[in-house]
Amino acid sequence: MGVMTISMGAESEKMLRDMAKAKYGNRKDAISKTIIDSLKAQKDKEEAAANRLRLEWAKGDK
Amino acid sequence: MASNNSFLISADVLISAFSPNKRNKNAAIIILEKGIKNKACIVESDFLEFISVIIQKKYVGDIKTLVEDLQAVYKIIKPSNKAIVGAISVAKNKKKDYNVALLIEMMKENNLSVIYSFGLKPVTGFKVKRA
Repeated sequence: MGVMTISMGAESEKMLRDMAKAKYGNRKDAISKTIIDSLKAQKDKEEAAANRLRLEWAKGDK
Repeated sequence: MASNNSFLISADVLISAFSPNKRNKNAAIIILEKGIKNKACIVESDFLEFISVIIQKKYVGDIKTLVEDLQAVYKIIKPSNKAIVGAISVAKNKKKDYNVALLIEMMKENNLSVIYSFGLKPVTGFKVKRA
């Protein structure tokens, strides 16, 4: 498991902490879990977009 | 700043992939697939050129989704003032097409050396590939 030190603006930090608290409460790993969830959601969004684009490219074949 | 294995995709490749015309379509799809894996870049002006072509064939709602999907998968890069001024200077002094000069300036600025295009001629400083 990697350990990272990241820096961000006060507004982003508050957003992250609020989101982590709402989702996972006061759990010790709430922040890292929230970041991982966000990365996964972004990856899923990109994959869904790529799949829609592939369908569009295939449409032209008809 | 773009990563080292990233590359630029020109408007003609985008247009060919979404065209029903077979010409260059397969090569364009291969390039765009490669671009998904490498988070390839598209210059904003080429992106707008693509939209201006596709707008004639699709409904507004479809175009909105298409634009959002392309933005999610590729990196749309905007020219800085420095790139614009540089491109004007190159275009005036070396009598190059402004769009090509702007592409070169933006490639330099984003550390890119490869562009995928069907129509561009190779220019010193960057490689033009077709597929």
